[in-house]
Amino acid sequence: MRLGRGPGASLEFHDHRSYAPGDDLRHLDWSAYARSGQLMIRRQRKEVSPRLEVLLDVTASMAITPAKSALATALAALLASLAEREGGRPRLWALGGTAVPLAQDWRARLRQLTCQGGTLATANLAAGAERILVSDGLHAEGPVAIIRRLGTEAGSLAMVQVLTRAELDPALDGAVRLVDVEGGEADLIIDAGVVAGYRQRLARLQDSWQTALRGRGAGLLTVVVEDGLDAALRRLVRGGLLIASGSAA
Amino acid sequence: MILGEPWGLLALAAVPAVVALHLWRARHAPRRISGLFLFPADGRVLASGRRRAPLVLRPSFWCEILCILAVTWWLADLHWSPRSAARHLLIVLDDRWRMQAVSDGSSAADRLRQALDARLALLADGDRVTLIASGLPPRLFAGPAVEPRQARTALGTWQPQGGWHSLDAAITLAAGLGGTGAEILVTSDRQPPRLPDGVGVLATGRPATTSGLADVRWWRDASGERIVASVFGDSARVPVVRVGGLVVTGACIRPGFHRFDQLPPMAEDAVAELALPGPDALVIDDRVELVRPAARIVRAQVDAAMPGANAVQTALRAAGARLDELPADLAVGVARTSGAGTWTLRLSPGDGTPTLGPFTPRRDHPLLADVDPTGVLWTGSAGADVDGPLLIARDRTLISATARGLDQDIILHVDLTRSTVTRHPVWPGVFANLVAWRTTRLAGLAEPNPRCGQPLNAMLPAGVRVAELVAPDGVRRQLRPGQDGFLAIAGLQQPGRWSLHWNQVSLPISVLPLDARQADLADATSLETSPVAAGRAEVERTRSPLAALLPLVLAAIAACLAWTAFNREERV
Repeated sequence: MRLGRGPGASLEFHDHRSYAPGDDLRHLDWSAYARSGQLMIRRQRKEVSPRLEVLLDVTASMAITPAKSALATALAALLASLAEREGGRPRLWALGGTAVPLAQDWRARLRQLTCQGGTLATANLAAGAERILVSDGLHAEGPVAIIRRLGTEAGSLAMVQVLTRAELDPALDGAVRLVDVEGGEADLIIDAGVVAGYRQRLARLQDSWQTALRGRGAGLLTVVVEDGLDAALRRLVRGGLLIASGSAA
Repeated sequence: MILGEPWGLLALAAVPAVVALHLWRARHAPRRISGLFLFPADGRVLASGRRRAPLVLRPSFWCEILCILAVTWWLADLHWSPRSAARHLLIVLDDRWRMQAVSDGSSAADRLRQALDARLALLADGDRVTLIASGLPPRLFAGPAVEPRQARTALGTWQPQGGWHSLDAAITLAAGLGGTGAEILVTSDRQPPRLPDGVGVLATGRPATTSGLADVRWWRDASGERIVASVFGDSARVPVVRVGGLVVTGACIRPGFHRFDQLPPMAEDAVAELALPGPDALVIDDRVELVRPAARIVRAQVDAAMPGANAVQTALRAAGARLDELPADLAVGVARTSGAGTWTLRLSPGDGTPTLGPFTPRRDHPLLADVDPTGVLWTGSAGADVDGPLLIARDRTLISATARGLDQDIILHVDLTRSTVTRHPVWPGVFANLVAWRTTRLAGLAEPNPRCGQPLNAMLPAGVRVAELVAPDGVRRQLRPGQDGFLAIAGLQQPGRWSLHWNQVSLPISVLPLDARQADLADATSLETSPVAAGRAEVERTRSPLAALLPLVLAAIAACLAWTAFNREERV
């Protein structure tokens, strides 16, 4: 058990709020009333038993390079490990064409994952759990639909977006045949205009993710594969998903 | 900028081909991505078939262009100047066979070869040498302007065997080829006369006395066959003649002249070897091989019923003609089809009054050579309007001859019943000339054993418009006769066995290495004067191996780079 962010029933002080009819009179802070003459309700911090669900995207695009799948797997394992260390009960899901829960031996199962398929399946997720989606977010169905499916009854939902530098800024030129690893191909004459259009669409996609995740937690945190694990962790700390002291969110 | 091989520029046609390939080739190299929906749809093109794409100047394109340019450079032999400056030594080789004269175990040619080899060995690699063999005409033996090592190699194969000629033509050729700045060295076995200023001399001759055959003839006519040889120098040397391995007995008809009459029966293609035994400094003219001349006897057909037939037959027989053998070379009083090289003789009585002259003959005509009709009572003649008059008296024509191609039509305008011509020497004289004239017009060679440089005459049958002359070294030359079938062949300069061909006929010719002028070794001497060195001369540029290799190496490197760049660009 540990303290949650919101108000609850622990012994730790959280904040005051004005009294409203119906409030439990046992929670009136008489000392505050003496100082201010206002009826104030003393709220304690919530005592929670957190459940973390790490949703690892294992669609084919996550294995576009070995480094990408390795970083995504490492981040999922790291988040689950930190939750375990904090006494939490992490639960990992491998979301590909089907949703596969990884049980107690999730460490071994993580190493055996294969990335395939193109859509994120719907998982039977626990209500109130804090969920972290580790994905590249490159799904044509769009963030809203995905968040609607994966964010139902979630305590919070954040997303760690794992992208390669080529996905951020494609260094293509001339006539190429683009083969999407999740299906589909197209011949393009790529020039600076096409690349600029790609960047705009990617930025809009990331904005869509950010909007869909707003009010649900840490939001969208983008890490770059080529920058390595350390840079990714610093990004998660900077984004509030991890606390520098080592406590999981 | 000069193009050694302008056709090499055709390689540049590969440039538009490469551009077209880059424009139209299916360059849609597959790329694995993970967000196809992020790429704007307006940049997409049809996913099948070839299509024109904007030309992207990738490294592979430039490497391919560079490769094409390098290959063009190599094929077109691109260079800046057609000539380059170098020391240029032009050597005139005396190609007459007297350079074969041996003294103290070595010939003048051997000594000259050694001296020149030593001289050429001292030249630098950048120097240039031209070897010119004298002759009619002179010929380039090595060059023009080859490297010294090439000249030395060529010099090792040089064997002087030409007939008599002057070195002037070769020296003139050397001066023309060398231009200003070139050095000219004339070689011989003695001091050449009338040399231009600055020309050097290298003579390796040694004086000697020699003897040899001056001339040899094989006669074959109506009186039989015989070989006659004349020897110059040591008249004590008696030639030995062998025909088919048998020694022929001869006789010395006067000092230096030998006649061999007792020739054994032999085939038409038999040869006779004639040799002068004994040592001699110059042996080339001590032994010859003669081919048997064809029998050149005129066959005549006489109409026995015509007036004066007996007188005609008697005169023809006396002139060596064979009567009544067919096909006839000469028809007398007999109608013949024209256009087949037929000769006809007709006796036309005419209607003219008798005359004793004065007679006016065409002295240059072979029919009237050494014929003097003075004293003949000539009756019967034609008017002055007869074609081809040869003998006339006042305004009357007595003998006429008309040629039409290979045909010859001769008319004696005479009435034999009233004329005294058959009892006058003019009668056998005219027929002797007629037979001799006809003999020279018989198909074949007049002399199958000419001396080196001696002009040669041949008659080709009617209808033959081209003949082929084959030299001893196999070089073939086509010759075309005149309208009358006469073929004049300039003096053959190369001794040995030649042959003349037309249709299925092949006539052997043995050019004899006989010329007394070449046997005179009294003035032979050894001397050496260097040519005046006038600096560097302009010589034709030669393509050095390095210059030829450089563009090829460049092309190979460019091709490798193009392949590497292409693979890198196409990599998924």
